[in-house]
Amino acid sequence: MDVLVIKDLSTHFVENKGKVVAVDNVDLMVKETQTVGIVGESGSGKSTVANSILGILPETGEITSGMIRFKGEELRGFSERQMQQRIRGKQISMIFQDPMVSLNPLFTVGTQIVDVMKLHQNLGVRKAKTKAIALFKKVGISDPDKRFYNYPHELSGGMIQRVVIAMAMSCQPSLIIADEPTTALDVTIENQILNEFEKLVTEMRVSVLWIAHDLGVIRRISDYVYVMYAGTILERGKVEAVFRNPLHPYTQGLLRSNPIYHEPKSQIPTITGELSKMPPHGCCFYPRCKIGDEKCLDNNIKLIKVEEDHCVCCRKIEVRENCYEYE
Amino acid sequence: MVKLREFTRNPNIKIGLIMIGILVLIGISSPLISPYDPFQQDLMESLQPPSFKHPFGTDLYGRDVMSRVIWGAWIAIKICVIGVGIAFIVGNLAGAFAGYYGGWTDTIIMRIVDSILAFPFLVLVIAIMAIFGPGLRNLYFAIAVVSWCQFARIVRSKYISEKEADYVMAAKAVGFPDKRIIFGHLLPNAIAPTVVYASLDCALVILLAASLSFIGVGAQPPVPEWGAQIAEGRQLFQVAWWVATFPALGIMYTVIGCSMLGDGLRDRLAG
Amino acid sequence: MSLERYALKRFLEIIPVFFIVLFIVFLMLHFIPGDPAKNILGIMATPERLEQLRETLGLNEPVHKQFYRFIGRLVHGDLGRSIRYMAPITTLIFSRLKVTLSLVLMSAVICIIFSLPISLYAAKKHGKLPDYAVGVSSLLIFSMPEFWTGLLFLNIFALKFGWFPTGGWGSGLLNNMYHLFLPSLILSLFLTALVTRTLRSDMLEVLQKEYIRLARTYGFSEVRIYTKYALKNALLPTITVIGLNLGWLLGSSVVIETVFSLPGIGAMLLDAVIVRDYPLIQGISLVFALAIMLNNYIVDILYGIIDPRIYRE
Repeated sequence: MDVLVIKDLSTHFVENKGKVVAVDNVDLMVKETQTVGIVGESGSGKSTVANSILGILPETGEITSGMIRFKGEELRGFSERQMQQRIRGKQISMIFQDPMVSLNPLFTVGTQIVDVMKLHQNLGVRKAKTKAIALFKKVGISDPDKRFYNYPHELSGGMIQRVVIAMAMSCQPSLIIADEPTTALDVTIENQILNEFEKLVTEMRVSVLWIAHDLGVIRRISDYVYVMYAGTILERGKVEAVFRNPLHPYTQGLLRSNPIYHEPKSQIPTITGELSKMPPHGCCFYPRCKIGDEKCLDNNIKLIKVEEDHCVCCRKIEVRENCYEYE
Repeated sequence: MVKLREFTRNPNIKIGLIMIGILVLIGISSPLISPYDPFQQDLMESLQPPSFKHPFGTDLYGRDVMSRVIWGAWIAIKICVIGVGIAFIVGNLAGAFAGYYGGWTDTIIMRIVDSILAFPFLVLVIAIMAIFGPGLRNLYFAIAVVSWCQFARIVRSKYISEKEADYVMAAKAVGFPDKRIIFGHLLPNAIAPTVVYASLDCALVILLAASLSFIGVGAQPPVPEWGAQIAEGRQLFQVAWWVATFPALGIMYTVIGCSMLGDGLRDRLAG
Repeated sequence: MSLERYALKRFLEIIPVFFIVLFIVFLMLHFIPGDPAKNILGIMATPERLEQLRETLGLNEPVHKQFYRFIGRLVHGDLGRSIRYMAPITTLIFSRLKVTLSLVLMSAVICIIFSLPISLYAAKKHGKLPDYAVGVSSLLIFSMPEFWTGLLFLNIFALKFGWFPTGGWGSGLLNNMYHLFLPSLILSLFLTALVTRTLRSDMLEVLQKEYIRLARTYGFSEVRIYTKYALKNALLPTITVIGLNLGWLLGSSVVIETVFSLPGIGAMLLDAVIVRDYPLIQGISLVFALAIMLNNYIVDILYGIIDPRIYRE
């Protein structure tokens, strides 16, 4: 069964200058034990998707349309209380980006994880503590019984992130949403964390929605990837397919600008322009696109399937009989 | 100029500035705009309720309350400017040296600050007034003696945190002498929270001065300081509420203006 | 560092402050311009009486000897003798201690009872009408000079309506609380307004933090988040504010005791000022200073208990 099915999700924020559309008719799907990545630059709306799923948008935000089906149930129909008691932390957990501010500095890490377990699993303190220490061990925290009594400021970033991961896994959720969890970490630590995370995910058979702007991480950890820009999905597909054969000009630009794919000391091409005003109709990438023309300003540019498990949203690509070409 | 407009867009700052501005205008022009001489007695007119002739009424000696309240504004301004002004300068200097040099300078200055702050403000000022005698002049001094401590504390902690900043290191590396760094580089960065505190301190100082005058150790009659006026109206409250109330409104107005300005500044300068 | 060592460290840091305070109090007598004896007894005093007073106050001895005597007396708990009351100052202060203490305590209790729920409520309704109402009213209350508010309440509720006594002290616990009600209400106004504003803005700041956001994603109820998690974090700076303002409370008690004719230490201080009873002024100042130092020490320790970052390195 599909763990998460999102159809036509639109979310906007109300600001002084008017409405800002952060998520624009997004379709997304996460299957069981699948890790889905969302990649895009800052401001592309990827975190807003995550917040919309859990219903933790700030006051200025509102979901205007769409369906969010989690294990067959429509999440938008849930009351706040139901979300608190059944979904958040229990069935869907979230991991944030900056470990140094993720945990409350005035409580020990042990207290914080035990509180979560007490809340959703009705465990007594002692049982919860034993379970927590076991989890700490699993995520690779050394001296777990001592660390249990530490305060967040006494731990390193990588250590805290491990605690956060342990917390996220503690109630055996079906879906974990990871919002750029390794962006703030050193590369070596990031590597370790990713290793442990992957192990855990396989072992506990959890689905993951991983949000990042780092292509390397996405490529490594995801099975399926969505490329997001200005609130829309521009391309999606199996990770190997998209990386081997990026179709959308934006995806190509992203990959090209990654230093890994270039000779040392060579000029790295960038995507000019920045994410700002969008054309009222048509393709949102048009202002920065090198191959766009006036017809791209038409509405109704849809996702076209180009190969198996690989779709793209670009007008300039025509599909004919097992091959495609750019106009 | 554009920056100034951005700066004052904050409603707190706007309202606060306007209120204080009006107060300063009234205070400065008090000899011109007060309808009567605040010291002039007219026993025939004593204890008149508010009327056209005397919008705030008259007190026990027939003096016009409105004129006295207007002059009180000027006194309030003087108290703030002199008292808080001295405290501001002394406190900033002390805090800057304590924070920058650290070590014994820091320890000595901060121990003195701690000991002064160990006394309740009012009690220490009362003691000072008791020693040197009552009156407005000694009041300025007493307030300054007690207020500089808070400024010193704030400035010191800012200097300590900024001392290690990159721009300070850079200035040192280029060879600027200490005093130049303290005043030229660090001071502009450290001064923001003290300015915020200065406006809040004005509010506190007005209340403090009024309390002192009320209990008799501050401004002495017939000086029309607001607190002293309330003291005069104390026994008369049942029969002539206006004698004590209008000066109190003056105090409230000033305190609100200063607090709003301080709050707005704090939001804008982020402490 | 453990909590005990932190407590010890702070205690040791207070000792030099304590000595400077003693020094300041001692100096009070010596800062008086002119001849202290003449200042106290007035121009009409005879030379013999002046000399007698100087002897009693020990003014004829060299200054450092006076200081030693001063410290020596203090060690025995002797604060000197009051000129006006002709009685040991320590006794005088103790006899009136309970009045001032009850006043301050009751004010603090009233402050906490009101400010906590109001500021939590205002933080929850941020940006909406209740929040503005709370903000405006606390600003107004904060700006009212408490002696005038005291006069107002005294005249309306005590004199006019006769609901409360107009002052003085009663007998027995309940009766005393009855006498204390109006004065402690007035005394608490300033502090309540201040604490409400501070706690509310601290709560708002804390509620923006990432760890609160994370707690929400775990499904903790809003009530839980406000009372258990956010409050603890917001309480920290607020405790400093309350602690620091105890000084203000003690100082204001002087004024309030005067307005309501309460026989407390503050009222005694004012009488001493009027008759120039300097030893008494010194004694009371010292006691107040000690009270505040003790209070600050307790606040520091409390701070350390709540926020382990302070001492755990």
